Amino acid sequence: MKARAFLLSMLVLSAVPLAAATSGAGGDEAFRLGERMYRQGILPSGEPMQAVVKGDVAVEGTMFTCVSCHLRGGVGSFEGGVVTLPTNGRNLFSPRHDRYGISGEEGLKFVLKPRPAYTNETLATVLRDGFDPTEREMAVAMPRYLLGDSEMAILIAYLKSLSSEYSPGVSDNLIRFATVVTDDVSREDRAAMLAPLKAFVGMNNGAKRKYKGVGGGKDPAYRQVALDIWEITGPPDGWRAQLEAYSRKEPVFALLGGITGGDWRPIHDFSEANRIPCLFPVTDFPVVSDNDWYTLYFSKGFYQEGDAVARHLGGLGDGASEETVVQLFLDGGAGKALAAGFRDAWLEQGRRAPVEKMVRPGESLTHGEIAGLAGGKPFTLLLWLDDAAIPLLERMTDDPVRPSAVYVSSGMLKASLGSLPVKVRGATFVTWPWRLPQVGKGAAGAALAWLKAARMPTDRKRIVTRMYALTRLLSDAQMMLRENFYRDNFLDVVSNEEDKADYPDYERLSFGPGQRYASKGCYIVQLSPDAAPTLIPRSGWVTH
Amino acid sequence: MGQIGRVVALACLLAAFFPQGAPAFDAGVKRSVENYTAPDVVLVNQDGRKVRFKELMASSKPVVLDFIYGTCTTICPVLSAGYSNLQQKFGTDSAKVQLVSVSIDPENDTPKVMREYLKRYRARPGWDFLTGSRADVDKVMRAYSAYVPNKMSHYPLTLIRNGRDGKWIRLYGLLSTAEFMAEFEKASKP
Ligand code: HEC
Repeated sequence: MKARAFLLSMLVLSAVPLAAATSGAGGDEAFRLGERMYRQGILPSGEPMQAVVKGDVAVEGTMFTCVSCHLRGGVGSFEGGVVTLPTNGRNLFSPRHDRYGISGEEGLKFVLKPRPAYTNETLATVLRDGFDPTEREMAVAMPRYLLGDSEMAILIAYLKSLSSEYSPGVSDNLIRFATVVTDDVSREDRAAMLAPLKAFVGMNNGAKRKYKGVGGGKDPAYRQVALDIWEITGPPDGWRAQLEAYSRKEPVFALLGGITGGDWRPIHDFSEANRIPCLFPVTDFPVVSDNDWYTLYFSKGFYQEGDAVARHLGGLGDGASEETVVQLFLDGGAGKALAAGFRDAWLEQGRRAPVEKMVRPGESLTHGEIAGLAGGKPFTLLLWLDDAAIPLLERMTDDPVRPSAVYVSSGMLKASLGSLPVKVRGATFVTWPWRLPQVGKGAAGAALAWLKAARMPTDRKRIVTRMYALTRLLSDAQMMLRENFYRDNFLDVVSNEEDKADYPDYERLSFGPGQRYASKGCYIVQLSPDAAPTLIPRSGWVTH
Repeated sequence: MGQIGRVVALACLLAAFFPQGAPAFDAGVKRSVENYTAPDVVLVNQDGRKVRFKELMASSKPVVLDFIYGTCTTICPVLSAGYSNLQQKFGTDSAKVQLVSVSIDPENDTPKVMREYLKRYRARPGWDFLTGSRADVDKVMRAYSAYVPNKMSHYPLTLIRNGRDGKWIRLYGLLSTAEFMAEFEKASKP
């Protein structure tokens, strides 16, 4: 096996400075180094880890490493017919008893042999050579790692600590969640947010959910659910301290839903800093980040609408995407997020930066001023304004220097979308980050029927329907979570859920490790000329 | 979780444990020879460029095709390491083989995500990662008998187009580099 010999020689070369680097690494430092091996595939020396898959496929840790298969919480995954066993502290260092399961596709039945608890020695053997303490050889997908003794010690210490004790908020019979509500939220919206969550708690705590294990006893994974409401008051810079006070007083396993009229940022930062998962808050202002971990959002909000416009416009061809783009955006969260979403995606396509102007509330621009921004050349206008956009468009139809196309945001226009002047509808495109109303009733019929039967309050803001979606996702997650009550694993489990295409609000919600915005779509639509206009899709749900 | 996931989850509920079992495909690689017709769809590659899929498949070079996605666990990393190793074997000739990965998570796999993915696997010229509308991606999956309703229930599949008669070698399972090279050489012999 030449590859292996070659890799081994590499290892020997890198082992010398390594020993020096790790000797004297204290507890915290060792933990950090172990975590880096597990999550980034980088050795304490800074070199990538080396491994072999399938006998001779050489793999560097920076391509993929433990976390890619065993996931962040270490409890493993099941995908495409491959069971990736748990590699967290609690599972590795306790014996495994007889286990069996069935796999659908070929009706395959398989049995996993019991094994004793791992020791440091047997763990090193399985990682290096692929044999467990009973001499069972690991499946080919599990890489054989080339690790020196001190590197191995650091990795094993990390595995020991990984998901070894239940996260805060969990006891033998209870799992505690909280939901955050800020004081700018109306009574109706608050009630709409809470209703599905309370229904979920009621169902969970009712007798029916205490499903039995095979032996007929109580299901050891069953927990009653408690839901605290964290009421937050005052300006955003005081939220963090209030959240931390709640958390100290009565720790929770995770935050569910939640609602604010403002920016979710302070709550996002709290979750991130305290490693508390937060699932699907109702907010127009999620934090858009590639790397943050703990908050799962339904979508990127207004940012996503701007992004969709860039993809739509960029894909038009016939010169439309070469025109100058003028972005007018209202000073405020929505306008800025739309402008940023467009700008980022537009520049990502390698195009010329748009001409931008921020408009203060109440400020109005003449058409001459707008056309002037484009330097007198043909242009496309992005109008990220609230209902102030309507009179502007009204006047624009009479103007000889009109933009060739106008984009507006349904989220900013809200109810005034319907009063979009008929004359401009042919040249006006609207962002629509929801399922199209004409297909919603069919696809999401079962969900809507349930909501009706449960007499959930209806609301125009899709608060009830979205929180209902959260509770369905939660029920699925509970089944997969079993007794692995570790916060990181909870997020892993949600990340492994199937796509959902039958919920009321979004055409599709999809998941994956590290994916933090479940809805990736936004239609670009036009309005029919009718008094009660229908939405005519001009793009797919997702455009590339 | 895919269908399989559900069944397993159910089994878990009954037996009150998770997870369990052994990989379904450890028995080795299943091989067959098939005829496929590439659908005429336009997909988008990692550079954001439009690619006429049918033309790419009709390339005069040998073509290898697999189905993966950016955040997939366990299977895709191993498949992609296989591509990476194959390219390494070809060295500076890497562009003489057309490697194609089609995303089965087209909503999340934007050109940017795909570019970063390829970079992680040190892809060289000659490896294209394609995304597109869900409808088009479904058409491609169906054309190669690789359709899965849900990305979580996909399976490891490598397809190699035989240069002589355009037939495809279908390999179900994970390949070692030696197996991959042997199949590849068989397929690309003049
Ligand atoms: C490409 C996917 C993949 C990667 C990367 C990976 N593993 Fe695994 N691992 C698996 C699979 C699949 C199994 C189950 C194999 C079997 O049951 O035959 C496994 C099994 C194990 C086991 C045995 C568990 C038991 O109960 O016997 C341990 C321990 C383990 N992995 C640790 C690690 C560590 C630590 C890393 C990183 C250094 C790692 N794995 C990287 C896929 C992977």
